[in-house]
Amino acid sequence: MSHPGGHRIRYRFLPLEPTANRLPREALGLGLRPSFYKALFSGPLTIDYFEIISENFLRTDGPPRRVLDAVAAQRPVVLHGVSLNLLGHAPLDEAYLQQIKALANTVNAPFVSDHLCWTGAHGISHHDLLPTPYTDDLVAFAASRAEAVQQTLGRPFGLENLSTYVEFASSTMPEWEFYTRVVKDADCWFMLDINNIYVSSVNHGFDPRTYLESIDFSRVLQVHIAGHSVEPNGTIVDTHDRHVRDEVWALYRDAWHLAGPFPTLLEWDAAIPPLPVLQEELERARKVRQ
Amino acid sequence: MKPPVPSWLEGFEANFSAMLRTPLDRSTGTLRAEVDRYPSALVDLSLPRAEIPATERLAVYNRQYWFRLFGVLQNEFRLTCALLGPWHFNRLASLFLQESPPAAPDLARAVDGFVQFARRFPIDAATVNPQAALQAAEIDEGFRNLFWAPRLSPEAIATFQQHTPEQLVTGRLRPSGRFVVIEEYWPLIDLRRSLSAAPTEQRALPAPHANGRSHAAIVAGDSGPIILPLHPLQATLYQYLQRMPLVAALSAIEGKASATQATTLASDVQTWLQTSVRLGFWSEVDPS
Repeated sequence: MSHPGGHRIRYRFLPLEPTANRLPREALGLGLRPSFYKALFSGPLTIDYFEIISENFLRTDGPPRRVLDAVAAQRPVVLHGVSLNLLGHAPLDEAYLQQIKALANTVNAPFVSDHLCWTGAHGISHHDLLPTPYTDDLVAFAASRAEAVQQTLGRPFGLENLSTYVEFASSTMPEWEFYTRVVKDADCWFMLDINNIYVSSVNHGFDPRTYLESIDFSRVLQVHIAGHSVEPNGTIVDTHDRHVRDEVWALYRDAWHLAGPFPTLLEWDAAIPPLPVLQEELERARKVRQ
Repeated sequence: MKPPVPSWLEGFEANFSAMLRTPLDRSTGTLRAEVDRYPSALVDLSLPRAEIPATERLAVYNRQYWFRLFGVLQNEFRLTCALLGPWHFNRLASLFLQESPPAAPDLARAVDGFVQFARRFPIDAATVNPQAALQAAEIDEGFRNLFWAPRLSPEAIATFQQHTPEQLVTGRLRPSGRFVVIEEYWPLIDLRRSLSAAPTEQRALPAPHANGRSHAAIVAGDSGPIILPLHPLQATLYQYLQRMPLVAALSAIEGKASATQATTLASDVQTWLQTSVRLGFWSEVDPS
């Protein structure tokens, strides 16, 4: 944008404070999944808020959207995407972003999040959260794109850290430095996954508490917890198919004592148990904090 | 000034994509990552950890890519998967995904085009009757499409019913997307309804229908699909109505009716049309 004198001004917008409809910091939420749609409405809703996988609700017809409308009428709903492709080399998909924006507006989402990763290339969507080397030039690129995403969405945008299974020789910094620099430079937010920190710490041999201590928790929109599996060779895989492991609960407790409160959300995506089991798992989060 | 795309990023992602999409080897009777086929530039860039070589670390992604997509296909095409068995179904799925990799951000769309692929792909008759496998794929596709069917309110149906007989007869009914007509030679719809999710083992092909074939409409209901058994002429009528004006469809049906059927055809057609309107088969009447 130029003013009449011809000087180029770069308008640096202040971070969008998630105050208009922010979540209570002690809130406990659950990823909304089809396996318990019916159970949700069979009794009073005891869950503080829900998170949806944005891509599963982009169509405006069909049962998922009807369930979403009913849930959003009773509880806050936050959006969590898996296909933004922030670190992809191709331009961001503007049509997709507009769909996310419309969905966020529909449910009046307190915030939107996605992952600090790439998800596809050369016209193919890999439907996975993929790692990169961590480099200075990628920090600048990622931060610029995250800032643009937040401006487009018009609401707070959080970036989630990944579970990763490989590291690259060309990285010039640890993951937590890459993550914190991108969030800071983009003036966006952390969507901090405690399980992912633990998974990557074991797979790559770093101290997860070093990671936690690098995070500015005043910029954490939400924390994720989830279960993981261990392969025969010791690699930990982020499967979201079982109870949260004790080691992850311990790290969650550390985070809470370090910088709580923060909204906490349970992700359970495969072999999903009945709703009461999920509610018990959330209650465990409440107990672990004490 | 936007920061440029890092010069190395596109090449890195191309190599990583090639690794991800390396098909899993089937020669040993299990699905195994072929790490020797990974791009050497990616392997050289990737770090080993303790006793785990870099290729094994990359293989986590390679396996995850394929198993995630197999899972989606097995779930969406659960009847086809049940008849073929997961092992043979995964082969079909792998070939489909190599030819048509997912492009949409919605994972459920990764199966778009699978039926068309299955029609072209020669299914091993030793595994399952190929015609049954294709019927199964079409039934699965029908259930899949109906899941996303638009909701039709009672008001919309009432509005539809206000059309004059002249408008209906000369017009063309616009399908609402809330039904699929199925002609099956085996009781496959029933078999599919017994499968609550992706099957883990092969299911035997049931005995064929005693009278050769059976017709049904799968209809989108408020709490799940409804199966509506159809008279053969009723099925034909609904199929014709999706591609021709009512008057032409009625004429075509009369030509197909036996002398016995013709005696009650007028009242039967009236009942069948009322049923279709009540269940929301049509959303509008377009001038022909």
